[in-house]
Amino acid sequence: MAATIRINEYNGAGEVETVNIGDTDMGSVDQANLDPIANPIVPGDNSFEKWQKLEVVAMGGSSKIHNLKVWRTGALGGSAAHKTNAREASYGGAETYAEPTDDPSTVATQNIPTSEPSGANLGIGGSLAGELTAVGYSDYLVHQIQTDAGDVAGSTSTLNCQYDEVA
Amino acid sequence: MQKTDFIFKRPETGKTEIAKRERWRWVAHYKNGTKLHQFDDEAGIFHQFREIDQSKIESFQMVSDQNPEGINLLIPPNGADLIHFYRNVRLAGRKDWIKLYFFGWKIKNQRGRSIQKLICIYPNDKIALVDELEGGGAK
Repeated sequence: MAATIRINEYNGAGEVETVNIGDTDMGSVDQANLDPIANPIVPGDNSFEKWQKLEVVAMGGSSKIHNLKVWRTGALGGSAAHKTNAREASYGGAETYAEPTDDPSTVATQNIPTSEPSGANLGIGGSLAGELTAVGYSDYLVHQIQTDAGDVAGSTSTLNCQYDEVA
Repeated sequence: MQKTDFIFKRPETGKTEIAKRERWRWVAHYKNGTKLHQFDDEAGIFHQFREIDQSKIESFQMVSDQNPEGINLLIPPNGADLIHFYRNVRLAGRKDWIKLYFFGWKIKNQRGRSIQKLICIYPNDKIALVDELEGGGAK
């Protein structure tokens, strides 16, 4: 290992941090590591937004972390959409935390790419060209699944993420 | 017994960090016959990539325990800059990060456009040549 990185999730009005989440299952409750079977998204509804960050816990001798990318794979099914604030063009900068909602997100407004983006689509310090040279955090990754009443249950949208590290 | 922990003193802070031995490690070969090892086993010291004096380099080698002969990158003589980084990928449903080792060079052509040539080492030790735009992303 070089740098030590983890993904954290933030929930509730109080921005309660859950570090090193095991998964990013989406559902009908604002909760980290939620059980999607116990908390399914009813067709026509939205999932609660996810507010997550990459955290550099230790640099381990490396000089910088940068070029953050997120994308999704899997078949969403029906006309469901997986929306995010992550984007390569017109990036909105670092979002200020707001309690996750299951109303249509005003932050996650663009479809997550379905393959690896060509460049960074999640920023550091409000910029896609940003970099971490010491312990710290990325910008918030905000995402939400929005479904249609005709969508079928059991479809999947799985999230991938990536960063580059210069040692 | 092979060392796993190496000392690194960060110049910006003066603080000491522990760098763990990587599966694939670089060795910079200089024109005067000397070498700089990313992980110096004799001194127990970790060297950052930016410590390489690229003006004096003859070749750049990636080695591993299973591949001590490694992969040797001859540096083009026309002033190309070396590149080396790790790409860490966390695929859906996994909590662990997969590490890919990238190294290569970049140079500006006569039109001033940056050309980048990279070699990627995968977790199964297979290698691939990768054309990538500067800043990441396949062409």
